[in-house]
Amino acid sequence: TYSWDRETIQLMQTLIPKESLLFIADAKITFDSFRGSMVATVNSRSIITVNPGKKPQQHLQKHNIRWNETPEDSITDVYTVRQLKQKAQENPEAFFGITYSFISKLDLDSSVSKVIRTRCSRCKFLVPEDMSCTNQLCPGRDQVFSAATCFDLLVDLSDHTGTLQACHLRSPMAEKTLGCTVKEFTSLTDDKRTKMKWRLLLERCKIYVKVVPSAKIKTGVRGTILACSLADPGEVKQHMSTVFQSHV
Amino acid sequence: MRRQENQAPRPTAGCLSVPLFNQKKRNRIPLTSTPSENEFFSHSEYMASISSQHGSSRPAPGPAPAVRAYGPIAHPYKQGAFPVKPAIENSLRILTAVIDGMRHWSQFRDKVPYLFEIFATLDSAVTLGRYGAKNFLIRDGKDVVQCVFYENEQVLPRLIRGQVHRCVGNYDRSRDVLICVSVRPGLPSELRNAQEAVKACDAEMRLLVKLLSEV
Repeated sequence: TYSWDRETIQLMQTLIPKESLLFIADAKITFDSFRGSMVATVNSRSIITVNPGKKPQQHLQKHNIRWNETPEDSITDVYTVRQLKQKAQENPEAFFGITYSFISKLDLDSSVSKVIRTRCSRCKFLVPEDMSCTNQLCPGRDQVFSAATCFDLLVDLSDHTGTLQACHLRSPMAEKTLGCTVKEFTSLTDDKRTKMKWRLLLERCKIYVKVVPSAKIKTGVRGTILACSLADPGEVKQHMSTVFQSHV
Repeated sequence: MRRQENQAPRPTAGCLSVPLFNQKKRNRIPLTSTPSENEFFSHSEYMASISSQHGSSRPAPGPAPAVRAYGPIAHPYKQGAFPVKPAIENSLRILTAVIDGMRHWSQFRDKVPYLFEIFATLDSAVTLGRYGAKNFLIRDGKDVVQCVFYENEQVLPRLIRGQVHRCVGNYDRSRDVLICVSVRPGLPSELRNAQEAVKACDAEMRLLVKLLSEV
C-alpha cells in the first residue's frame, strides 16, 4: 500500500460522523459502476483539511448546501391533513412539512408485491420480478440484468380534518420506519407482518412529508414520507393546542 | 391555518366503510369500520360509485377541491366558467373524543366518515361473546359505553380493570356500541395530551356540523 493511503485511513478513523467537516482539494471524481454513482477518491495529490474553520462553513450556508442532513434537521412547519391539501392546491411547487396524523392504511400483510418492488439497478425502472428491464432507454440493456428490491408502499395518513391517501413510503425511509431490511421483511411470517402493521396502524405518528401538487392524480396531491415514527404525546398536545386556537 | 370557507354539502350514498383488515385473515364476520354493512368497499371504489351517481348532474367544476366526487378532476390551477364551492371534505377522519362527545358527533356519521379515539377506564371484566367477540365496558367520568373487539388479526392484549386504555373504532349508534379495531393500555403522557386533542376535534366537528346544516 502507498504510505499516503495508510495516513488517510488513520485520519478517517479519527473523524466523528455527522460532526467533522472536511475540506478536500484535488479529489478524483469518477463514475463507479458498482455503486451506480459518482464517487470521490483521495490520492497522493489530495489535501484534506478537517474542520477548516468559519469561511468554508459560511460558504456552505450561503449557497444553501446541505450536508449530511436528515429531514428532521430542516423541516419544521406543522400541518393538518387539510392544510397540506390546501397548500398543494394554492402552490405549484413541492413543499415539505410535518403532520401528526394517524396511519390509516398500511397493507404490510396482504400481497408482498404491495410492499416490495423490484427495480433495475441501472435505470431504476420498476420491473416485474426476475424479468429483464423493459425500459428502452436503459443504459444497461445490453448487459446482464441486475435488479434491486426495495420497499415501495402506499400509506394513508388521517387526522380530524381528513385523509391524505396513497403516500409513498419507500426505501430507505421504509427501513427506518418499519425497523427491518427488505430481506428481513421477506422472511417474516404473515403473523409477524400483521404484528408489525398494528404497531403503526391507527397510531398517531410524527410524519415528515414531501407534498407535490399533481394534476395526474385524482386528489391533486401526492405525498412522500421522508420519516415516520410514533408521535410523542407532548408534541402532539402542543400541535393540538395550536390547531384549536386557529378555530377560535 | 385558515378557516374553511362556506361549502355546499354533498349528499352521500350512505355509510363509508374503510378496509383495515387483511382480507385473507377474516374468517368470521366480514369486518370493516362500518358496523352495519357486510359489503366491502375500498375508499376508491366508494368514490367511484359516488362519482358515477352524481357526476352527470353537476356542472363542470372550477378550482379542484381536495377530494373529487363529481367526475374528471380539473387542473388545480385552471379556473372554471364560474366559481363552484368545493364539497365538504369527505375522506376518513379520526377524532379524539370523550364518550359523551362520541355519542353526540355520531349523529352525522352518515354524512362524513370518521373513527373515534377514546381514552377511558376499563370498567368491567372482559367477557367472551358470539363469533369470538371480546366485550367490555369503558368509562370516562359519568359516561360508560359498551365495547366489542373481534380477534381477527390480533389477540386482545391483557386489559387491567381500573386502568385507562385507548380504544379506536367505529361507534354503532343504533346499538350504542363502540366496535373497536385497536385496543391497548393508554400511556400517561397520552392521557395528558388527550384533552387538547378532544378540544381541537370538537371545534372541527362544530364547524363541520355548521357546514352540513347549510344545505
